Amino acid sequence: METILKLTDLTKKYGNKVVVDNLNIEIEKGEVFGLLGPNGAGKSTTMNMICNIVRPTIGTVEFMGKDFRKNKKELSKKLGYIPQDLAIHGRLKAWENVELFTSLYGIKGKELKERIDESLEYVGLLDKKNEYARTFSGGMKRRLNIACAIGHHPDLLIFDEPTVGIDPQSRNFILERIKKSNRNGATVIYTSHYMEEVEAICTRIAIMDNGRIIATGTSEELKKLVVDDTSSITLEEVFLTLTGKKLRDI
Amino acid sequence: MIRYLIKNNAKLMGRSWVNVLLFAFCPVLVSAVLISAFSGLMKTYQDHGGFRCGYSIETGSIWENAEEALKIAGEQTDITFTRFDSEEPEEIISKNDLSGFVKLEGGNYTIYRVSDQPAQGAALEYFMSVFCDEMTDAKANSVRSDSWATDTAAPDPTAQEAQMLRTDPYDDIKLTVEHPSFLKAVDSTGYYGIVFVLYYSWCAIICAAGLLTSEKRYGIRRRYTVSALGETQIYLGRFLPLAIVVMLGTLAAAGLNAAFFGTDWGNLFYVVVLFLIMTAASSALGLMFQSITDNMIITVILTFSLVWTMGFFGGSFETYMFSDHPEYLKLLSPIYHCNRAMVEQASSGSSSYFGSAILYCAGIIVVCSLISIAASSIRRRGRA
Repeated sequence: METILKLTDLTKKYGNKVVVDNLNIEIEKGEVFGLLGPNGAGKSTTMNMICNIVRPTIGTVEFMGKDFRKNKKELSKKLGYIPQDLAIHGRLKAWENVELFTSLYGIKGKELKERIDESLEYVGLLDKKNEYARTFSGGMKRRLNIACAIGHHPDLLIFDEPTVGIDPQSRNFILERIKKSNRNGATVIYTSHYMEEVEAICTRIAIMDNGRIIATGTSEELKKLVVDDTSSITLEEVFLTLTGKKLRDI
Repeated sequence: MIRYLIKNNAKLMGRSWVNVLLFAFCPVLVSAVLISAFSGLMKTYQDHGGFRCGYSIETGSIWENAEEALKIAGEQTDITFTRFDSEEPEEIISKNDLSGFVKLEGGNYTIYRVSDQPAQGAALEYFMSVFCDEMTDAKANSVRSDSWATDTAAPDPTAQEAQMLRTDPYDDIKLTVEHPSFLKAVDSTGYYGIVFVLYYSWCAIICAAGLLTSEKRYGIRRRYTVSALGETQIYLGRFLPLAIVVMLGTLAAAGLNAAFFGTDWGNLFYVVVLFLIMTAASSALGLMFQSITDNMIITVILTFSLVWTMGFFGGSFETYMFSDHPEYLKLLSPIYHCNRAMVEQASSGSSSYFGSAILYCAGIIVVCSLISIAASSIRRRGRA
């Protein structure tokens, strides 16, 4: 398999505090890679370093075989980032939001119009394209948030908790769409606190705690780390066993 | 690539009713109040009813050539100039019941005002200031290579006067002022109807407050970072729509003032050019504070404080003709240059302050834009 993303010795320090500690991960093309961890484990910082939002203190992010920082202009067009925040403008209509964020990747004119419709159709909002985003429900906003990140047809999609605070129907729709994107060839990195979601869509999962990867593997492999009979344990129980039950007040 | 960013940011700013209210209607309301409140005072200035003023001219001075022009210009603005060369100005005023006296020596003029006739005194000061501008223009037209005039003791020399009135020989002056045109007296409609629209245009950053706040709050800037949008592109994506939307808003206010109160804005070309450069300067200034502080509340406080100070010395509240602020403080304020340029071009068709207003605003745009981009880059690196 071809490696699409390679994190080597990735470390982030804020002063004396080590937030991400010597992370080494390789993600293969076509994978749906789940990143789990309690609050403050370093997931978001890792995501931010992958997306070039935060500069690593040490280490490199290699994307499609090239150093991401040194080839940012070229490689950023192949990356789609769906932030946890609803990074959309309420005063813009649905199609205007998609137009704005898709155009940032150099798509324009007729092609841009086609991509807008395609993205909105993908998330089931084409019939709402002329409505203002502020009038949307939470689930619709989440879907629009996704539409704004896929219009440029990225090879790698990074979802940062995309199903927070929405109803089961919307969540199911989003998960189906992530699977569809993956079937269409996109590699996906997915973080969530919902273990059943991660188990349902991820082909490989890494569990992070205190800035380090403490376990990696498929859902079955992770369960086997804790018990032999994998049918008797859930991923959530594995997670709690590996990371502990102590509250993380970050 | 940033075409769509500019377009959508412009939509975001333009769709806010607060912005429409603030930039298109508020200036009209404030202008209405000030036009009404100061109409009496400005009318006094406008209709001083004519007055008599004495003058003396030093033999061999530059003023001898301009004496006839001075008298003609005075008649056109109902100021009757009478020459007295023998006694002290205070005695002449007192004996002849004059409203003022102008002592013309060397390259200087000294105005003697009568304390209980402030309107006449202000009118005389304004008249002499404009007369000197006209002389300067005439001199520039007739004698290109000469430098002239001497040290100044004039009460309120303008920058141009100060520059021109230097200690150089003036023996070869060929001043050919025949029919100088003078500013019409400005009434409150022609003054506050203009300056308050200009004042609001200096508050441009408020128009972008909603956009910048939501960009920060909802993580929209992260999308820009991920898309590899450069700091210059992000800056232009804010700066250009901000300047355009504020310009359209304040131009709408200018139109409403013209429609409701009959404010004469003069040459439309000058109006659009000045509004464009001024709103661009104002946008750059506000965005600079925003880039440095990354806090909208502090940005608004800083911008408002600076704009208020510039307006205070620049004639936005007290008319620049009557204010007693030191000349250098007035000249430091870009609002002063813009106010004078707009008011004078509206009332007389041209203004020697037009150039300085453009240059001052252009300087603000360049400096503030560079600082903004640098501050944002440093902030991004710091975050990283």
